[in-house]
Amino acid sequence: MAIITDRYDPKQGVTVISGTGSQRFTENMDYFSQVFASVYSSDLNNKFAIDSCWESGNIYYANYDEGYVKKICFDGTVLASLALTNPLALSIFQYSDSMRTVIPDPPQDDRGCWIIDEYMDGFTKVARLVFTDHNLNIVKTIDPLTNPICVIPAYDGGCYVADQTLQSISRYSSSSVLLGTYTFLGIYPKELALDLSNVTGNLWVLCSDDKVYNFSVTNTGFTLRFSISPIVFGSHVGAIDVDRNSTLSQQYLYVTGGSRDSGWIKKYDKDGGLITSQTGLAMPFPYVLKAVQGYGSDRVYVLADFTKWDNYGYDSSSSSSTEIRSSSSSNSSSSSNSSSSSSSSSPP
Amino acid sequence: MNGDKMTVKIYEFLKSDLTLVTSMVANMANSVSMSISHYAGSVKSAQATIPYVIEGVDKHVPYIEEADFCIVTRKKIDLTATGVNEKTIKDVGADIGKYGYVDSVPAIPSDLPPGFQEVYKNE
Repeated sequence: MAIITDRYDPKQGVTVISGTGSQRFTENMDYFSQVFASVYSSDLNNKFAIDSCWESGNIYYANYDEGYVKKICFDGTVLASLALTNPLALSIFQYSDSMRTVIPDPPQDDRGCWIIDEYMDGFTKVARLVFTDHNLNIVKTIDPLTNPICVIPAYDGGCYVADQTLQSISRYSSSSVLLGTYTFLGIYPKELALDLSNVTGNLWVLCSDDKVYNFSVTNTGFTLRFSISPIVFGSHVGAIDVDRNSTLSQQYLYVTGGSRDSGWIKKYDKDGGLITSQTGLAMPFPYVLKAVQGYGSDRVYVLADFTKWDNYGYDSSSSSSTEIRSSSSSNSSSSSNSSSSSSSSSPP
Repeated sequence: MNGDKMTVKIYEFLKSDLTLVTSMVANMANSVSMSISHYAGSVKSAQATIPYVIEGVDKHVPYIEEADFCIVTRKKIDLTATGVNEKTIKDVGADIGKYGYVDSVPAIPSDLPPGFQEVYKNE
């Protein structure tokens, strides 16, 4: 008699989401393309509106206009939903700090999700950080913040958050205590990426001066180590992403961007050494929005949108997707920041 | 929105040397973001006993029509050695087969036999 075994399929796929729907591709982009009209975000969401569980493949996405965050399977089946005010961005607290080399069967799900939720305080737009469990039940909030645009989880269940108006990145513990803040002077952070393995690791910050800043991460805070300037002349730096393998020597930073008619991508080691690069790529879609890669895939994917190039403003310092939102001058602080420390300095 | 105009493209690069592999226009306008995840699907397989003995000869595995050996690991496929096939031979002299790897360790075949598909790519 035969024994039928149902095994998990560890292949990967890429999901692109917009204000009108979403589309999915296989990792080789050679077959299985599906359009889901019921899974969409908002034009007011930023590029951190979607994230995926490394192992289970479940997807979180936010809709700013309609005020919800949903958790779905890759096929679009809704697993959970949370009503919020104006969820702007989110990031999943993955099951493990680094990508495991073998996915168990059944695969592990996530440990929750950090969400940036904007709302009006009188006539002033502010935001709060919401942390949920893996069923989108609210566990805790940090409130109010000024103008956060990106949040990523820390190893202990806390988070790092980038604030454009305050030009800073802050670290909150799992109990919502503000552990530290680094303030950039004259520039603002646009994207965060963490290659954390266990407790220590590297926090990479893409800033508005088109440089990528490296911070050494410990269990108590983070310290600026160096910056790299990957930009190719006449272009912009669009996105960063890091491998999060358990093997330190395999943790790489990918930086990508484009000019008016060409694109480029570069690969760095964790000490900022350039490993390899491709420049002058014929990319009629040069405005880079997002770069993603994951476990089990030997590919890195870059999402580009040519309509945003004019919005970006050639030789301009502002970008449509990273526009500084108007906000109040209210303090950005945790509800329990008595033990916080901060630093402020000019980047190198 | 920009109507039905397709403005979004995904570029696929090899991680190793950043070679551009392919690109694809997404069926949407004015994209917001992108994510990577696993399929939610699953693979069903059957384990059964068949009344035949299949022998691999000279590094080859017989191909069986319509048989799908989709869940295997590379280390268990080493027909250059006739030792216990569930165990990877790592020591010189451990091979008792007719190919006699006395002074070297038999190499694991770089390519899987026909009908096999490697599932886990990373070590």
